[in-house]
Amino acid sequence: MPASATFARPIRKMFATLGWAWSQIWFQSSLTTPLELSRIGIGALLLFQYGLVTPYVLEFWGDAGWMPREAALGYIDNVWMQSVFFYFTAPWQWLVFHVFFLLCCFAFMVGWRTSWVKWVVLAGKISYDYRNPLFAYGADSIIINMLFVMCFAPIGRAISLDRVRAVRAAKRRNLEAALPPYASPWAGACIRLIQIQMAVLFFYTGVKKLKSEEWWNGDAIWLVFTMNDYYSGFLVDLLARQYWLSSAGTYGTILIELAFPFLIWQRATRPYLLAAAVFLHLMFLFTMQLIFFALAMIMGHMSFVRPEWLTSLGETWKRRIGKMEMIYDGKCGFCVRSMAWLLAFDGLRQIKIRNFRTNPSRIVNNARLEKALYLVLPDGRALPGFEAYRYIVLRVPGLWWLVPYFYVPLISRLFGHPIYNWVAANRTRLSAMRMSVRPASWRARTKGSA
Amino acid sequence: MISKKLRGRLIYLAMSLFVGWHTMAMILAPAPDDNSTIESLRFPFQPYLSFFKLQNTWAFFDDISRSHQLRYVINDAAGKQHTFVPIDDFEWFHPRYNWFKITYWAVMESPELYGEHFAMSSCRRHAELKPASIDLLLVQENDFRPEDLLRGHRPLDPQFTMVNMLMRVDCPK
Repeated sequence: MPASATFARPIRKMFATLGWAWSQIWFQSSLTTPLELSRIGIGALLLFQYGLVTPYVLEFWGDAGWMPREAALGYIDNVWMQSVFFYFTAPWQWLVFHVFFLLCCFAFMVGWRTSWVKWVVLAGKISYDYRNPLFAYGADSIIINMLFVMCFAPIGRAISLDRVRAVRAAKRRNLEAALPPYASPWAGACIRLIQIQMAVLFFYTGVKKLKSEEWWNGDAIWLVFTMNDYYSGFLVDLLARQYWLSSAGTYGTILIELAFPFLIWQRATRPYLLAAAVFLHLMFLFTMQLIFFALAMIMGHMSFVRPEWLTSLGETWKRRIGKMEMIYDGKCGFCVRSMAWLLAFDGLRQIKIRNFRTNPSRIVNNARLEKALYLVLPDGRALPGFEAYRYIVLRVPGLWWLVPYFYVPLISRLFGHPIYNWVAANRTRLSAMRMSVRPASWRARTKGSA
Repeated sequence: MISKKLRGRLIYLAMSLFVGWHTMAMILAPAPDDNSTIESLRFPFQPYLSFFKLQNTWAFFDDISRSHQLRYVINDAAGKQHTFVPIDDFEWFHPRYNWFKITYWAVMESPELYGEHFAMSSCRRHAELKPASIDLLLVQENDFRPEDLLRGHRPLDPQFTMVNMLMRVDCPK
């Protein structure tokens, strides 16, 4: 055997092993659910934060407000630091952009057109922060870092309106169709990037604290709570009488921050470290009132939530609620479309369906089903029409957003029953109406393809 | 036309380059500035870090210094003084608390930049007092120990604070 081949084989083997390790670290196929949880949280945080500051947009970011353009440019030290606000000239432009940004935050939160909305949210957030750097602090950096990775990630594939649209489109073709959950190696890589971001953040935060005397001598917690910014009469009183709590809190914080980047990766230790980190930030939220910061960090921690934990949580929920069967009229186009819409929100697939025209039910007879849709519960009870929907919205997490409409005392039932009964009675007409409003070109296309 | 296999490899390579690059950026961005090796390593990442605003220090509460409080005194036309603590207008759970806390902090840090704007808006806000001028004050907290609290004191009691005048601004007539 030639000498070159003798050397080539172990080298090839070494590269193959390195390549395998690289793939294991970065490109394991994963569901996007941890990213989606962060997306919802970050979208809600931005919407809340920037929505409430709406009356002060010109005051905080305008040229005649707190931070004149010249003052803001004083913070800019290279050409790469850009903000769309630097290019605005009239106050209405600030307001239009702000409203557009808020709409995009809302769309980002609910996962509507996520593929491009996420870029607007990132560009908007960077623009606000560069236009008035005074307001940008740690929480804003955390959010931008996560948003940046999310812009490259395949988000909007679960727990989102984009997913609802995709499932609905599949169900419109066949109500029994099931769209498999989206998973990809790139989703795994993006989750890993956010995880590394959080670990790096904890590491630097912990290490930098070690340089300060107050973190060594156990005084840090006392100092924080006696500061005017975070003063809490109750806590300061408690700490003064039980000073060991200050030391315990100080060293506990350091311990969590230094342990996190090393122990969060192992399967056995991750739940404990994750619980400790979330606890730490809940403490920041409740005792220091750092609401925005604490929630932003908790959204970052979501990247460490294993998709299988969420799956098992979903299974537990399904078991607890039990099987539900919805019996509908498969001959009515409007009913089929409504079912496709409803089932698109049923991410856990809790609802089974039965078309009584082709598969009659033994529990509810056809005469009753001609009048209304029925929901059969695990205990054999059958709820008709509005009551069926009312039961479902509370038990299917994807429909929780409808709970306020279905559970307003008196009002919901007062209006809900007649509205449902009217729709059910006129469903044939509604089905026909839908077809007649289709544009001529669509009808021609459909006819042609048929 | 590139083959499917080659295209797959190129995509894998692009993804690998991106995650490697971004991880390096994440690690280098918060590293200390006082090291020339780190500075030179960070140099190629700087445009990337700046454009996407990824630079940061991740140094939360590493140095806990005593805090400041902004107050202002309105001197009315009759020579009477009225003292206000602007942050007291908002409870901590108030949605605007944080935004205004930061703006007051900015006034204390750079009164020459933000003091006049703040003073003018305060003059307008208290127009019913007929303000002649407004004094911006910085209240600096001093050390406060558990023994002080047990003796019945509070961190903002006069003996634990130092008041500095930041600037005086005349209100428009």
